[in-house]
This record gives sequence, structure tokens and C-alpha cells, in this order.
Amino acid sequence: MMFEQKNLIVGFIILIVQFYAISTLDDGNDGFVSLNFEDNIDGKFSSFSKINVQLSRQTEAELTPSRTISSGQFDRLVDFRSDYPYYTLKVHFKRGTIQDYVMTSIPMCLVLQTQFRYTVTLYVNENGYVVSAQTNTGNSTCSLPHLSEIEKKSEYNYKVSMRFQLNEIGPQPDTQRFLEKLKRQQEAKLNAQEADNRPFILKYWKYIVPVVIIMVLQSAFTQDAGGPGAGGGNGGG
Amino acid sequence: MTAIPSYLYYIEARWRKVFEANDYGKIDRIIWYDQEGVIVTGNGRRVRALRYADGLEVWQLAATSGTNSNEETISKSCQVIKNRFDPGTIHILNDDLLWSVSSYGEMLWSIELPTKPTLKSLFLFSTSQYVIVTSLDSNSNKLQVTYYSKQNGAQAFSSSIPWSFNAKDSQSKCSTMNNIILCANNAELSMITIPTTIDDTNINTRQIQFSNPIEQIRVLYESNTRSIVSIKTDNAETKVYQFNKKDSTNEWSYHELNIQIKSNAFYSVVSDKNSGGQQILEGSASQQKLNFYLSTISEQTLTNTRSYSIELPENMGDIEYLSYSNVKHTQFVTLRMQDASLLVIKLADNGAELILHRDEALSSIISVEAFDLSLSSGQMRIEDEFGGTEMFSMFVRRISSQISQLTSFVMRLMNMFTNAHANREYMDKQAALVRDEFNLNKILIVVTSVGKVFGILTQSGGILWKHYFTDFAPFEHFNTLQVPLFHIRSAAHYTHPPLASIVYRDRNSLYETHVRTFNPYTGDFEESLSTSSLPHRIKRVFLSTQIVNDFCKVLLFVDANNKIHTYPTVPLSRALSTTTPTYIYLFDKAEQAFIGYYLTINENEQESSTGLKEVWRVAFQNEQVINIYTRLSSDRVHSAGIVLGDRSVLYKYTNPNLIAVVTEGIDYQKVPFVSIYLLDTVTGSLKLSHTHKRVKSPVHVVLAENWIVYTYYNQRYRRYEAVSSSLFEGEAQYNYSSFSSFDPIEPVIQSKAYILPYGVNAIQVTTTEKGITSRDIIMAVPNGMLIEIPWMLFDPRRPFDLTSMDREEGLIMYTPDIMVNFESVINYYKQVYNIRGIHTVSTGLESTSVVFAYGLDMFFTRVFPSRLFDQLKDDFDFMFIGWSTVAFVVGSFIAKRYAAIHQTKKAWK
Repeated sequence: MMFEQKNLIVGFIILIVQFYAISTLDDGNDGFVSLNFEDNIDGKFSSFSKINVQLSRQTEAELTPSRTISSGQFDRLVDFRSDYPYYTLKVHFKRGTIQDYVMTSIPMCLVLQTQFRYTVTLYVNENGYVVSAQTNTGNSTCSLPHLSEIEKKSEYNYKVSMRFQLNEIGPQPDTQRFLEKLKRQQEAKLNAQEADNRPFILKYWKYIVPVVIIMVLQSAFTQDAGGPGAGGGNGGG
Repeated sequence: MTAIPSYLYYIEARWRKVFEANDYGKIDRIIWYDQEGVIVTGNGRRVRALRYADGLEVWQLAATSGTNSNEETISKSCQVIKNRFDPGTIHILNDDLLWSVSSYGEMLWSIELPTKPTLKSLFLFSTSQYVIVTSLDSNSNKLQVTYYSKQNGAQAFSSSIPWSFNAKDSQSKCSTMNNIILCANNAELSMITIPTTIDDTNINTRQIQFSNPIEQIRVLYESNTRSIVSIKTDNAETKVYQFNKKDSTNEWSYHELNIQIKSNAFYSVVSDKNSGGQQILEGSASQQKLNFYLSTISEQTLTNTRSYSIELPENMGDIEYLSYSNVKHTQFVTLRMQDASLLVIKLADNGAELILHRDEALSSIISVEAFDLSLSSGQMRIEDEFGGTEMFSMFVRRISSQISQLTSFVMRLMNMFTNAHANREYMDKQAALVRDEFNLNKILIVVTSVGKVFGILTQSGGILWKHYFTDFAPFEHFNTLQVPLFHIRSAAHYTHPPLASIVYRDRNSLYETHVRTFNPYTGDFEESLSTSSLPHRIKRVFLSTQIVNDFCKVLLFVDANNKIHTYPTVPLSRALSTTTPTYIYLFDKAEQAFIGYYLTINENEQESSTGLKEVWRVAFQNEQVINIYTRLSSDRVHSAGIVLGDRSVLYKYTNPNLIAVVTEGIDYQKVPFVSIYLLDTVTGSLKLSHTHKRVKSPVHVVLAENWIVYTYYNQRYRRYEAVSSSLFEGEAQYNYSSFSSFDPIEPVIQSKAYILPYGVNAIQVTTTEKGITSRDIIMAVPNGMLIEIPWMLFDPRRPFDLTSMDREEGLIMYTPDIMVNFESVINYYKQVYNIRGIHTVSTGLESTSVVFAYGLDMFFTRVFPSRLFDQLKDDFDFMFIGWSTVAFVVGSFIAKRYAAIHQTKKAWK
């Protein structure tokens, strides 16, 4: 008896643990991911922001930069455009025991044009690891004269917002909805048939009346025409 | 290969039977009986008998075992033997199952063997009373010999003997012969005799010493009292030994036979029914010649030796398999050559005669390219006709070319009348090599996995030329074999013949890369553009975007140090466009990551090698990339958008830099999944990511225009499904004149899934010249059909409830299953099996696309996805239209005259 009870309790605990596990994993992307953002404006990769965020579709975070870009550095980037044609963003991520990095690039002048204001989209796979990154400055072209028109500042600040894009569950053949639709159509058809239990004449009077009128008129005309026709015949004789 | 063709004396294949395309169809062993052959397939899990006369499957048996349901643990080794004392019984051993089958299709018994990770079943023997299984116990390094009753499979007794080989060596270096295990131990051959009765416990071990390490042991012949074995050492020398059993003892004596060909030879031994002795056939290949020696084996020596030799029609490499048979006093030799050719040679007193040659290599095609045929001389002259700058010269050119056209026409007419029948065949062949009016006929260049390249004319399916590369080995590309095949020079430059290049690895040293360039019409090599070894290990090869010398493109190689090289060597600024940046991507298998590089081109640089700058990285953690798919290079997008029912436009997101990546993985709940990604190869961003749970590969993908269609197997519902997704920019277009991957466009994705009525072997989309014609999906299914399904049926915009707007747009209402009409089977009753790939090519007619499907079989046809809108039908009534035109012209003249008379009369009134 005692043993049974023990068993029951163990079973219950297991159930709770399972339930807990399921509820926490329900999102499929529980837990936090630590991210470290680096870029190559110094000629080598150096970090400018670190963040520890919850992985979810809703997460949208503004990165807090750990450094700024001095005007001298900015001017140098403008001058040495050809040597640094690309602004490369390197995102290190760590989730659980697994860590790796992803990278993406856009032309340097796009970033200079918006003064380091851009959005980063991190693509997250089924198991909750970052697969790829994308930067977007809201523009794809930049002109050199435009760059020189940018107002001079003593230092420039990163203004980077980040969001996650999670893998979508692929579509399934929608048999359920299709069958429901068929059922609805069938029901509608049946209803239409059932409602119409009027007598034959009432149902089809629209078709019967013109036929009757035509027949009446025709017989009237033939009678009218029959007289002179007959007369003509007589005349002929 | 899973087809067994049967040949009847001099003639074509009479029947064939295609087995399963998966592991169950892999043949382990065939046991030949008088009327039928018993074939063991699927690692000893399926046995069936085929009747020689008509190919009828007389019976089939499948092993019933616990592990059978779990397909993934199909064991790798399998032993099949015919009982030596009871030829009607076959014993089959795979890792954990031992079963016996009678030759008339009865399962006699089957037992499951104990499975332990340390115990590995190795050899199978038979006696009149027992079936003997020897298995290696790797814990104690002993060979366990277990005796099972032949009648019912009951375990009788077991013993064990010391064993010095590990499991892998035992399988690769040992063979069995009667009740003897022969093992090669470096330069020593060990013979271990297994006792066959309970009383006999004497395990006899003997050694034969060789001067060189032994490479291969082959048992050529075995009977109860005599065996013949060939032993090849690593200096390619072969010795043939004859073993004779001493009367009434279990001991064997042996001696060497004095064979004719000592190295690189194949041997086949048959018993001679007349004399009761054996005959041995030795065969060897040298260049294009085969040499045979046929001898009778007397007690100690070979006597009555006759030699034969035969010149082969082409180079076929070495012999891979040889079998000699003597049917009704006619001697046949059947050979499989290195180039997968099947040869049957008849040996007669007046010499050897080749009676059958089939290029079985054609069932292993891995790369296909289609080339346009050359222009006819008349078509070429049209180019000249409109040249010139001055008025007078233009006039002269025109007149002269028209005169030459006229004379050639008259000449052709004359030729037709004078020798209409004389050279008909030759003229037909010549005509077949000239481009037709609509460029419908092509030359297909196919590369097979054995290294044979064929030029095939699509008009007739005839092989124009073939060439076997003896040093060929294909590359591996995501678990499939691949040989890069490029158009170096297209057929557009009529002054120069077109050129094709293939790149392959060396068979012996896999880091060596060969480039071969040839004329696709003739197969002649362009030696100046071929090299036997590139000086670097290559990771990737691609074609230049610019034409360099003599209208030729060059090959670009990425080497192991991420440096770019060109072949032939030219400055990179000439091979690639300097105005549009070049990006390339490589896949790192160890890290499961794609890495994108930007190629910097220095215009002053004369070197042909340059570095790559890493610009993006996409890493797949806990996922395995199983394949990638790109858009066809011939893919054309004709319209930038779709006109909706309300006359507004929905713009397509046609990003030319996308590739589709297919990955497999297991999620945190241990559920397998397959993910499909659309990856932009310039920025490394993902444009689409779909995950399907409880889904299994193979995944087949078609990527074209702004859409992707992929198919997979749904394990949950046990059916094949297809998903179709389209990418749109939306109601407004970001940039109407050009596309850039850096454009901040978030494509809108529309997707729908459909149930497929069949499994899928391969899919492809039709290609047309301008992309105006609607698209059809060509799908090869396992039952041998090639089905053409309009893409409209896969359209992700198919609505559930059809509104008038949708109707106006021409959309079809959504149904979850794709109905296949049997009219859309493009190969009718000509079933083609195990199709691995489909190649589609555009033609000169916009309505027409040509389709080439290849696998075990090949099929070629034309398809018209939007019907024949630019061609008159065959039954078009030219006479009617001609006469009615004439009638209208005459009628109008008469009417004009009458009208004039009428007008005059009217004026007079």
C-alpha cells in the first residue's frame, strides 16, 4: 500500500516536471541568449554592444553601445571608403553550451549615410540558435556628395535596434478547412432544396405565364388571320 | 544497379525487372538454377526467383525479423550460400538473422542470432547436416563456431577457436571455400579448416608464404573435392592455386597452376561436363584489345591451351568482371568493363567475336548540358548579308549573298533529283547535325559517374560520340556525385565551334584535378584548354562572366587557401566584370556553415590569383545541411508583377541571388524536422525559413522566378506533400530598373501546401526562351511516369473561396490535393524508372521546352506548357487558306469592277 502511494507520488512529480518542461518549452525558444555585436570599423572586429535577451518573436531591443565613433574615425571611414567597402557586423551568440557566430555586410557608405543608425534582424532556427543576421539602413544607394553634406558632430553614436525572426512552421495541406467548406456547401444546397416546398405552379409561374400568354396570343392571331386568309382563298376561287 | 537484363543469343534484351530503388533493391547474390535464378537483395532480407524464359517473378520471400521494421539499421554485411550437399537449399546470414530458403520458394526456417555489440557474425558454411556460423567475439578475440541443424535451425553445439584478425580485416581480407577460411595476413595466406562434424574437433591451420603482400583472394571454383583460388599480390602478380581434398580425410592438398597471364588478369573456371574436369579462362585487357587463354585443367597442369584475342571498338578500360560459360558447345565470355560496358564475346575455332556491347554507363548519368546545333551555311551567310557600312558595299553584299542562296537552293534541288536514294542515310545524318528552323534539336552532353562522356543527338537518341576517361573520379557535393560541366564557348559564334569543359578528380590521387575541353559535336579534344593537373587543391569551380579569348569563357577555381585562380591563366579583371561586384559562397562541412566572400578585383593586377574577403556567415547549429538548390541559369522572368483582378499590380520579389538550403535536424522533443531556407548569397540573410516537423527527406526543390516548390515525405500522414511559396515585393516596387540585395525589401511570402498523389523521384520546371509561356512542373514518380503539372495548380495564391476578382485573374479554387490527369503523363506508356534528374532546355520557339529525364532509363520529349500558341498545327489546312485568299482577291477585283459600273450608272441617273 505504502509502495503504491510512493509510486503515485513519484508519478505525480514526474507529471509535474513534464508539464513544467512542456510549458517552458512550449514556445520552443525558451531561455536567454547572450549576444555580442562586433563590427569592423577599426579595421578589425571589435565589440560595440553586448546583450542578454529572451528569445521570442516579440523581442525588440535597442542596443546600448559600449563605445562611440569619434569624428576623426568617421572622417577616416569616409575617406578610406575604397579600403573598407563593407561594413561587416559579426554577432556572437551563446545559448546553453553552444556558441557560434554569424556575419553580414552592407556597403560602408550606407551606414555612414545614416550615421550608424540601422536595424539588425537575427534569424533563429527551430532549435533556437541564430542562423543568420541582416542589417537594414532603410536605403540601398548612397551618393558621395550626400556623405559630405552630413552635419559634422564631435562623435557619432550607434543607434541599433534588434529583433528576432523565428523559423515559421511550414504550411500543411488544409484538408480540414476544405472539408468544412464542402460540408457548408452541401448543407447550403440541402437547405435550399428543403425551403422550396411550394406547389409546382407557385414555383414555376414565371416560366408558365409567358408560355400561356404566347399561346393565347398566338391562338387569337391565328383566328384573326384565319378570316381574311380564308376570304382571300374564296376570292381566288 | 537494380535491373537485370536477360539476353538471348545475339539479340536485344527480352525482359527486365526493376527492383526497389532503395536498399531493398540492392542485389547481394544471385544463385543460378536451371530454369530460374534466385536473387537475394536488401542485405539478405528479400529473396525472389525470376524465371529466365519470361522474367516472371515466380516467388518472393521477405525475412521477418524484429529489426526489419527499423529500416535505418539494415545491416551492412550479408552472406548467402548454396548448401553444397543439397543444392536446392540456400542459407542466408545477415548480422542477426539466419534463415534457409528452398529453391522452390519455401521458407524452411529462420532464427534470430544473439546480438551483442562485441559479437559479429562473419562466415557461413554448410554441411549435409549443419549450417555453421562463425562469429567474432571481439572481447576474447575468439572465433565462435556455432552449428545449427540444417533441418530446423536448432542450435546443435558450438566451439571456439583463437582468432587474430579484427572484424573489419576479417571481412575484407578473408574468404571462404568449402569449410576453409582463407585469410591474407600480409605476405602469408592462412588456411583455417573448420570441423564439419561433432566428432571432429581438429582445427587445422596452415600457411602459404608469398613474396609480396596479398591484396585479394578470389575463389574461382568450388566443389566438394576441389577448389580453385586466385591470389593477387600488391605487385599485380596473380597466382592460381588448386586445392584437392584428400580422400576420406578432412585435409586438403594444394598446388599452383601454370597460368598464361600472370598479372592484371581475370580468371573464370567452369566445370566441363564432357570430361568431368574443369576449364579455366584467363582474360586481360590492354588498350583496346582483349586477350583470352582457355585451358583444360588436368591433375597438375593446364593443357590444351587455346588463345583468342579481339579488338574492341573503343577504349573501355580494364576488365572488372569476367565470366565464362559453355552453353551447348558454344563458348561465351561475359565481361563488365571499367567503363560499365557489358560485353558478350563468343569464342569459336575461327577466333573471338563480339556479339553484344551495351553502354550500361548511360544508367549512371550525373551531369547533363544541352548544346545548340551549328548553323547551316545558309543561316551563317545571313549574318554577312546585313554587314557593310557604305551603301554600295551593302548592296553588293546583299545581292551576292542572295545569289549564293539561290545557287545553293538550285544545287540542293539538283542533288535531290539526281541521287535521291544513293546517299540518303549520309545526307540525313548531315542534316541532323544542322540546326533546324526552330532550334528544337540539341546535342546532349552527358557525363556518367564511371567517367564516360557521351554526345547524344536529341532528334534520334543516337550516340554521336563517346569517350572514356580512364583517370576519372567525380566530386562529392552534399552526398551526391557531381562533375562540373560548362559551356566554355556557345554555339552562337558561328566562326568558332562550341566548346565544353568538364572538371574531375584523379581516380588515384583525389587532390589532383583534371580539366578537359572538347567540341560537343565531335568529342574532339581542345588540347590547349585541357590540363591533366592543376597545381592547387580546389574547393569550388565556376565559370567567368566575361568572354576572354576567342569568344571563350575561362574557369575560375577557389583553392584550399581561398585564393582564386583562372584556367587558362588570365588577369581576373578580364574574366569578371569590374562594374558589378562578384560574391561567392563556400560551404564548410565541419561547421555546417555557409561563408560568403566578396571578390576584390584589382584592375592593375596581372596575377591570376587573388584573395577573398569574408563578408557573411550563416551557421546551422544542430542542423545538417543535406542539399542546396539554385535557380537554372536559363531561368527568365518576363513580367515584374502579376495583374490582379482589380487591375492593380502585385510585384514579384525576383532576387537572382537566392539559393535554397535544405537542412535536417532533431528538435528538443526528439522530433525529426526538415527546414527549407532561401538564402541571399550577397548579404547572407534569409528570405524564407520553413520548418516541417515529422517529415523525411528526400526533399526535392525547384527554384524559379519568385517562387519555390518543394516536396517531402510526411511521416505522420504517410504521404508525399508539396509546398509552394511565392515572394512578393507588394503593391509597390522598390526599384523598377534594377535589383540589389541591399534593397531594404521585406518580401511578403505566400505559401500553400498540397498533397501529392505519388512519391517523387525528381522534379524540374520547364524553361522557355523568354519566360513568357506559363510554367509547368515536370515530376518523375516511382511508378515510371513523368507527369507535367501546371504551376498554376501549385500557385500559393489559390483561394479557398473564389471571388469574382480571383476569377478575373484566372485563379483556381484551392483543393488540398493535386489531381493528376493521366493525359498529363508525358511519357505515355514508355515507363522510365529510378529517375534521378530532369534537365529542361529552351528552344527557339517560345511555346516549347524540351525535357530530358535520366536515371536508370532516359527519356526525351518536347512539352508545350501554354499549348502551341506560336505554331500552326500539323493538320492546318494550307490549301483552304490559300484558295480562300485567292478567291477573296479575285472577288474583290470583280466587286471593284462592278462597283465602278454601278457608280457610273448612278451618275448618269
